[in-house]
Amino acid sequence: MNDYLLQTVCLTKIYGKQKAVDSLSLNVKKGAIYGLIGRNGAGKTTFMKMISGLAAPTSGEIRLFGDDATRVYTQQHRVGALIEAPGIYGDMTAFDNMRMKAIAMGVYNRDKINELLDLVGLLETRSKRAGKFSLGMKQRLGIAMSMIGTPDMLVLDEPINGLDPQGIIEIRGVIAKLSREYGITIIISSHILDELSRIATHYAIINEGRLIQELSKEELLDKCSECIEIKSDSVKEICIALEEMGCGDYEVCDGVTIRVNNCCDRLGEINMGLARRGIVINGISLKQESLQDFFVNITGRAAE
Amino acid sequence: MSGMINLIKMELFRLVKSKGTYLTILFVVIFSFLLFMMSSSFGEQSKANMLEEDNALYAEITEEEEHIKSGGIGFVGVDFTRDTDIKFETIVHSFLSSGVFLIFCGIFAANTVCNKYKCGFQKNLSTYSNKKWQLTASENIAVLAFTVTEILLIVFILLIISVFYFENFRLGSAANIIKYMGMQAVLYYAFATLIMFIVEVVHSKVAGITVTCLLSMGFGSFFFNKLDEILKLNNFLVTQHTIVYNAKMLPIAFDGELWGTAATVAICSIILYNIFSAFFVSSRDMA
Repeated sequence: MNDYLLQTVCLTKIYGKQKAVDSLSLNVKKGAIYGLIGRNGAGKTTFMKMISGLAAPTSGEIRLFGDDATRVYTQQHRVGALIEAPGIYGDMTAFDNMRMKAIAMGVYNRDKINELLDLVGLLETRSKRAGKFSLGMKQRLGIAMSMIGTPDMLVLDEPINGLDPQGIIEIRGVIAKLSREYGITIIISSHILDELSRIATHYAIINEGRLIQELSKEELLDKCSECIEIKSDSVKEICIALEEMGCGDYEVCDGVTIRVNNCCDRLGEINMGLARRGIVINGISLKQESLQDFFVNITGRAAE
Repeated sequence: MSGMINLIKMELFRLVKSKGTYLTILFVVIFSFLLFMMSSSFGEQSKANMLEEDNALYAEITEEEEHIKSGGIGFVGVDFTRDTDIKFETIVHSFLSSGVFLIFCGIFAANTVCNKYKCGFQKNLSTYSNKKWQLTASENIAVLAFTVTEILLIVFILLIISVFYFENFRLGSAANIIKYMGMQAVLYYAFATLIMFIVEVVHSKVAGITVTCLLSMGFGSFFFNKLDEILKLNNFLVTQHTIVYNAKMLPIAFDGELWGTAATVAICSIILYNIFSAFFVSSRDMA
């Protein structure tokens, strides 16, 4: 049985001469919270538009819920999406906006709409005109609207854009709850990588329309692992000393910094060892590469 | 088919809930009233002038009326006073054929299409991504509903005012009035589909409203007259086969040839512009 809710095969989108998405193939497992990471213009939104059915691919295949690629449109109703800004009528209330979409999908149910509004914290303001909402409230309404029809997969394009810290925490809670309690598979993109790292279970790093890397949270943690960072002008001597101490997994960065990837539990020992050899160092500390650093490094290498 | 029905329900819901609908209706009401008052004011003035110069001025008014009807700036072509012996069907004919009320139809159509793109609501309708023509078709139903409402409202307001205004109110032929209203509703709706097509292509409410005003006021006739001069087709004038011309020149009493032409122009326009709109919508991404 195919565990993948979404599979794309060489998905490509070209606008004029611009290749926005370039042969992107990825697989999203059922129940995952799949984070898409990439710079502005990397192709994340275009990719999300294609899998939500809002944009037609130039070439490639999309397989939804294990179904044949030619039947993707029959499964579109099982995908809810919030792409860029929420599409809401400003002169209608939150409830009426939800009702409109529900009517269009043939699933109008007053209680269900109220339940969704309550889930995103907008039940009390359901009779307020959506045009008067703050950005955060509009984002939450957009999420609620994407939930109409009880989709099996949600595609959320930067849902925490423009939110204050409290709003970010609330949305994070909603997303986690949707995954945990409703079992919904979520594809989410964000620039706030640290936020993404708190909720995503899988990641895809996209750059210039291409998939650079696809990895699980465990693999990412492994790659963003701890290291000992030594700053010194005597790089050569330190390298020899590290080899002698059995800490041969290191890399020299920018001529004065050495990162030791193993032996992270021997920081004190390394410090003593260098001192005994009379090697002057300017600093030694335990560092963990953040998701941000990892992303910058990897996209920087990809750009090369 | 159930998808189409759901979309129609959604569009009718939007029609009822949209502020634009009520604003447009309000302007229709105000304009109906204002134009009636203007016509009676012109009538009073003409009557005063005619007391001095009888036939000459009356001849001028008749020529003026023909000029207006053939595509001049669209005010109603009949003036009256309280004691004018005029049937209500003539009032209905003058107002609905003036071209002024086409403007509201066009504005509503432009607004309906453009608002959807402006606010991005169509992003919520991805389930129709392989049936985008249904989105256009459902909007048509809402615009048709508005058009019929507009015609009914105009005639109703004119009726109320006329009953109280004229000393000797005469209805005329109710059958003629009803049939004429039906035919004008079809022509108005055809006009609206043209505007919807323009807005679908350029995604600009300004363009839609500008074209609405220019065509309603008769500026299209200059272009089509020139076209006829160039084409020099035998027994066929493009000018006489446009929506606005037929809306303005349609007689209230049934005339087989004229009504047949009007119906053909309206129906062909509705079909063609809807096909073109559906084509453009289907060939584009939804977001």
